[in-house]
Amino acid sequence: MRIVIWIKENLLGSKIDILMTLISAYFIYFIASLFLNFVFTTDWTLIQVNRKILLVGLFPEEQLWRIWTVFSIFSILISATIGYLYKLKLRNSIFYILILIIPFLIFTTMNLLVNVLIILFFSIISYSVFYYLKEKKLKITSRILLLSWLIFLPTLFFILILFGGPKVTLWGGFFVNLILAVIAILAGFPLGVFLALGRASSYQVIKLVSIIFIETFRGAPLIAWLFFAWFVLPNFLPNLFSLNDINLVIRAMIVLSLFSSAYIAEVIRGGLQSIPKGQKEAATALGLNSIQELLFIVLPQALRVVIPAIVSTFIAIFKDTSLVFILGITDLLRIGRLIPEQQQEFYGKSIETLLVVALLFWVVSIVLSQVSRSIEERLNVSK
Amino acid sequence: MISNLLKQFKSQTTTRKKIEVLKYDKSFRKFFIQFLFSIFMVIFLFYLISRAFSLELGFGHLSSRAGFGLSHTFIVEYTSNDSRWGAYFTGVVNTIRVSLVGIFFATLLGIVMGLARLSKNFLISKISAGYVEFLRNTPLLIQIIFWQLVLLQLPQISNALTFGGISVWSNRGILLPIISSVENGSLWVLILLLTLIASLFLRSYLHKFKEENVRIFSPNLLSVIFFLIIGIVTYFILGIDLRSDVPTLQVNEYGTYIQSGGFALTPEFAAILFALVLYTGTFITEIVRGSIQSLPIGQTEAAQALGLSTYQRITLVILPQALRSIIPPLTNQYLNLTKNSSLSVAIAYPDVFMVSRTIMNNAGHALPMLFLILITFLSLSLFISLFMNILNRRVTRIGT
Amino acid sequence: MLNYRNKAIVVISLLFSMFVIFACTAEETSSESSSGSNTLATIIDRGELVCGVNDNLTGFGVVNSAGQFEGFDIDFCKAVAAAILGDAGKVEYVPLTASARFEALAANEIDILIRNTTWTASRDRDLGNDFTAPTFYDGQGMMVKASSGYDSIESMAGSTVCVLQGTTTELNLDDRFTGSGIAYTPLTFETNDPLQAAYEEGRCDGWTTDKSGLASKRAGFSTPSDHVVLAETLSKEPLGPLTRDNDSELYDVVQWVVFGMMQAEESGITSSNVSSMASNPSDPGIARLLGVGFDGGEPSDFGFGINVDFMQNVISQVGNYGEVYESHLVPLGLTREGSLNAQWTEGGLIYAPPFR
Repeated sequence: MRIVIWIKENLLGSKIDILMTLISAYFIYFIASLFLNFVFTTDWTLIQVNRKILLVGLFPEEQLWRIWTVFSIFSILISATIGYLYKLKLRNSIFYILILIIPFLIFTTMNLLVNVLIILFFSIISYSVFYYLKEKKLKITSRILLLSWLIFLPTLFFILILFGGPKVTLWGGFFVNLILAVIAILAGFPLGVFLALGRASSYQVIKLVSIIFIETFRGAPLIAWLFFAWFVLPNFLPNLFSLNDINLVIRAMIVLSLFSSAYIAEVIRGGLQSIPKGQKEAATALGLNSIQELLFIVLPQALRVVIPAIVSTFIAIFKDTSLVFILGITDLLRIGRLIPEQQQEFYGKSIETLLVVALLFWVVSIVLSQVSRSIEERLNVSK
Repeated sequence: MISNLLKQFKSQTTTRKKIEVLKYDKSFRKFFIQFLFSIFMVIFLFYLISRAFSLELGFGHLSSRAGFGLSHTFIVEYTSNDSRWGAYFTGVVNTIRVSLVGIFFATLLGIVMGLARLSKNFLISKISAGYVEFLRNTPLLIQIIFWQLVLLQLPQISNALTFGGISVWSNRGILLPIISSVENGSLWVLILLLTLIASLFLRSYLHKFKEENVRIFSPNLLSVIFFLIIGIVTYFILGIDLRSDVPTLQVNEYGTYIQSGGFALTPEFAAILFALVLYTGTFITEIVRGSIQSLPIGQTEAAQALGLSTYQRITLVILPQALRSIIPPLTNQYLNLTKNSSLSVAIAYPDVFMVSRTIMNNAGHALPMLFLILITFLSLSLFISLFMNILNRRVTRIGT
Repeated sequence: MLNYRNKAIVVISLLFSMFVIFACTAEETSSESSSGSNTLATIIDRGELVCGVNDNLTGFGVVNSAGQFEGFDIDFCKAVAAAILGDAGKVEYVPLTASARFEALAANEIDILIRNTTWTASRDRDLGNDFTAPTFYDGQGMMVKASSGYDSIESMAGSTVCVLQGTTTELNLDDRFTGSGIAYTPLTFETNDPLQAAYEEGRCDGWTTDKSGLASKRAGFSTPSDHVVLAETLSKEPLGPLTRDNDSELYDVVQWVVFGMMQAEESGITSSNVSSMASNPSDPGIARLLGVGFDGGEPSDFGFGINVDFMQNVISQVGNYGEVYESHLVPLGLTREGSLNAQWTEGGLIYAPPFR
């Protein structure tokens, strides 16, 4: 009975509504049948055969533990942070996990699945531990977290490159997209904070330089900056680095970091503006100097507010990493385009691989955007 | 103030105390930090410039003959005998063209989808939600390539659909019949566009005039008459000879199929346009939805109580109010769309970036070319921001 | 929030700095990046050769489904590694795009570049490279569908041509068409994959690039016989390995490995008979080439700074020029007979200076 009322109210309100419902029902049917037909009539062995190359490119098999290590550290750190800052709803968490499993259904092998489960297990543990620590209101917890994030970037390079790690030129596949985005955000974040403070500062020179930097990087499309990294940047980098160190992937990282810092700066500036004036006045009344005021009062609040927007910036940068394909870096998109061109048995299956590539990007982005949305909701509630 | 500081500074006996005075003087500290920073920046800039001198600089190479053809030209005539400046300018026009058309359709799509998202009809709001969630979270580049692949599935030119000779549909382009003129056609269209804008201004001015004075004329009618008069007068002055331009499909003596005439929508232009519209549309949908949701519910209820229809409610009550919080983020999306149009380099639509790439390949000079690109895009953003700012001012004025 | 004033500030300051930087530089300046370094010693120290290659040109350089590089250019990388290090497997391949290759060489990312690269004056001088010796004489060609009935460039009036963004490809194309007053529409792509899709679906009538590249792509099509490469050649494109400027030790080794492989073919030395030839050389020339003594004499040392018998390693592990050509390029339909790539004794240009 309730269903009937629901249908009456939501689908068949008026004559126009009935017409709209019919049209959209047909539209949904049309898209769904097109999609399902495509999925079930296509031979997906091309993905299974090229599983490894799509995910990590030419990365040597015996070195894959490096990627796994970085991946697990990253996900443990993320879950710890989420555990410390926010309380996730159980329903949402299950949703994320389910969506993350989709690509693994395509890419599964047994040991892959085991690795993922182990990482998942440790992530949940770290989430719970930090959630518990937060409840205990231990001061040291936030310091540990901050420190871990600060040393994460060097650690990442350390694990991936040192002690006989494969050359950066061998990095490939989805791994490159993820690592480029993570590095761009992590390296761009501190610079973005400085730029935002510079832009909000009363020091005219610093303000002008910040504005020029931000608007210059935001002014031209990312693809132009990537070409800048390709052709021009080598002449500006100091010759401190030895053979093979500065290659295109590293230069792309540099430019992506600068690019994302300009966007992060604008996000943080919004956060700074949202801090009520009373907070600053209270800090002054407490006798804090301007640096203390910034470090202990303004920034922590501003950063907390802007985390959802920073996640959105991360998603944007992550999607944009597909542009390195035009530079000839063997990222996921390039591999997806090369497979149907080079492997005789899968000749001409361009749309199939393109859709799988799109799916991988989509899964990561949708999970992140849901996370950002639920953080935002929690922030709004706690206000 | 400075003399005061100087006095204090002199009054101290030890160096240590003198420094202390400076350290605690706010304005001096401010000056000192900025001074250090400026020195640092100057050194950095000097380093950059000294490095830049080892590169190919200057724009002299842009004056030489281009020597390459472009597949899409619009308004400006371009042949490979023109200079590289000519090629660059053609690219700029192509960028503006795809951006303007894209902005128009993305706004339209965004508004429709944003309203659909809030529709009471379950299916319609879910279609809108699905559209946003799927397309917003997929990289634009992938979408562009996808549309290129899809549009190539149109019939090949040898089996082109002609619909009884009024239109040609093939994967070389969709050609639609249009009305065109032999001479001065684009000039006339330009004049018409300017006149349209002028008559819109005239209309709003007359409305204001009407408010202050007695009601003797209709502003709407007057501006329409103004538009028509200018249009007809220039029609005769320019000697416009209108004729219908029906696309044709011919086979030349060597067996090459050639389609010509009419309005051509090439697969490259269409692919970049579809992708830009659909991708940017998702963001505009979210903006529209957010703005409308942030309006107090009383507005809708009041409109309903007044007995307005759904259409009237949306166009007269909801949208005008939502517009105020829509325009600033909308401007950002327009800027993004313009910048994203440079991704057409992936599928052979000769926008400003692709033409620059070709010039860089043929003649080097990467740094000056990138500089030029930066300036071009910044100027485009500037124009869009300026225009939207004027619009924003108008919209906010109406409200108050 | 609509701070267009900031944007105006930026535009003005950029215009100003542009004026400052560029206004006074009417003269072209060229960079002299590389200094004389000894890459050969670096390679021997490292125990590995870093070779810049193509990863998307069947027959010349491509990654097979086992993840291994293979092709004509790849074999020359192997040959150089075999000559210097005695092991053709000690190569690290760095896949490069057409536009990134010189950059990578200049930036020391790679030791040598063997990536179907055309020898031109500007590349040799301006870009700071040294071309060793042409390994393949190529030329820009035009591929069309067999069903189209085109037999020459002249017959392609009014057609659409797909072209990959390259240093001279579009320019050669335009010279040929516009120069002869033939109307055409170019469709210029940045990467190969959308171009291939466009050509296959009939978006364009012709596809122009190096003939070797066309042959390679043609061989990759599901039915190669549906496509023909027109006989006309639009440009001269001699392809060969490059080293950095002023890197003469490595330059000489690479050059003479290439010549040695050509000489080996001329002398009839193949990978199967090289060991017997080395133990019992039939004439002094072969003995000099293989670095062994003739008739009990001392082997002649040319002073390359590597083992005197380096050509033995090259030929036994990789093969002579003819064998390399046979295994990679003949399957693509690039026949040697009558082409520029035949031996000089058969009317081609494959000619090695004497080993003495």
